[in-house]
Amino acid sequence: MSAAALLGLVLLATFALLSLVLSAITALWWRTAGHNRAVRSVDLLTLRLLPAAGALLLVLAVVLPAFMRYEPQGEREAAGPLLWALALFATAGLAHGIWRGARACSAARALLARCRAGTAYEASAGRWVQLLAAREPLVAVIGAWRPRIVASESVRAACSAEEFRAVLAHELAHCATRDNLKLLLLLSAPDALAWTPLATSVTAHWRAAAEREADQRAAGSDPGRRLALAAGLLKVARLVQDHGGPRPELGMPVASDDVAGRVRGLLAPPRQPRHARVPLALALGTLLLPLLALPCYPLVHELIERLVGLGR
Amino acid sequence: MAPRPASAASGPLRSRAGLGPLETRLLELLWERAGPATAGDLQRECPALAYTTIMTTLDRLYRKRLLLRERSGRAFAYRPRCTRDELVSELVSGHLTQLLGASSESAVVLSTLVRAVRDTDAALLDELDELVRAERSRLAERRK
Repeated sequence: MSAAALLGLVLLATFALLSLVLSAITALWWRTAGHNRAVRSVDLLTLRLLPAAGALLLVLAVVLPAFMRYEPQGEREAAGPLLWALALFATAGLAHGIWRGARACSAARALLARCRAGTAYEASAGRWVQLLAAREPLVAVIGAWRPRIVASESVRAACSAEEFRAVLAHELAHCATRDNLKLLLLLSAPDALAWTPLATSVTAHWRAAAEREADQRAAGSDPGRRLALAAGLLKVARLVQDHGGPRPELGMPVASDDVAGRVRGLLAPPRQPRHARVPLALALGTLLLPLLALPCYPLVHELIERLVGLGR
Repeated sequence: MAPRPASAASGPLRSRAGLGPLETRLLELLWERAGPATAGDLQRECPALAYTTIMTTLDRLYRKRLLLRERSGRAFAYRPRCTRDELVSELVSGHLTQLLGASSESAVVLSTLVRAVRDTDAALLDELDELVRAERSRLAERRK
């Protein structure tokens, strides 16, 4: 096998191996300490993306330089079955991730295409909302790259002008923080966790945290706005219930939608947001990793050689 | 902050109802008229179209359950089954239900304000309404 083909296999196989190890660490952490309602959405996002992003970083910052530096030039080497199996696993994971991402985008596009008619409503300066003459009590942000806000007329009719403005401010807060793009990353993370219920659970907790944070950002510290959003939220919840009760296929594993927690959170005085610690620690680690890995290159290359030859 | 009508509304209607350009045109003409119209009436408004083409298209719209018809001498007089707004609402709702139902939570890039409420949440919503009312009174009193 040529050196270039071997390098490709090694990168894929080490990506799979590292992603498996990081997935196991993530799963362990989630089981022991992850179910904390106060966790910020950014921490959950980082946690969910850790296996794939961490593995990619380690491959590019450690495995690739070690291979390039210590692999003898012009030498042809045969790959063992374990290397092939891991490389295939990585390829399947990447393909599955791309497929999930493409499917999610295409479903959002289909939904947006259906929502294109109706009337445009100015939610704030320069931000337009599609108002739909639909029976469903829908208020949503659809799409990842260019998210659009859609709302049904039934919601506008049920809410007062102030409540409807507050509800739209909540959706604008989602747009401002690019929550749908983050959701797309969560849905398409190419790692072993994607095949487990844990991925769904982390995504559901992330959704709940993102909703709470959008409430807080939209309402700010003004008691009137907080009250209007709480009232609007309750009216939409009533409409959802009247429209057809629970829709399990759309429900989240965490308390259907924590309407009660969100309303109570809005009625309580605003709290200072907690600082996100996980991303800060990871950013520092990411910057230091290439430097820290320098003395380990010979050892890493030795491990790669063993992996290549295992089972041959 | 007033709503403004969507532009080129017949385009989305066409794509959502699965209608062809001619079907959409005739449907729009029937909506504009106060009462029913025969193929002959519509042909006088669209002289470029052949009588038989209009008759076939109207029949197709009737079979799609978008038009009602009654005998008017030897011909049929057609009228829309519902108003334009009712049809748009019906189409949007039908498609939304279909799309939202078909796409599981994990398969669409969508953030909704409230996704699902449990049956058991009804009492809880009443309780929360009480809390909102109490807070509203408290705020009103403080403003006085």
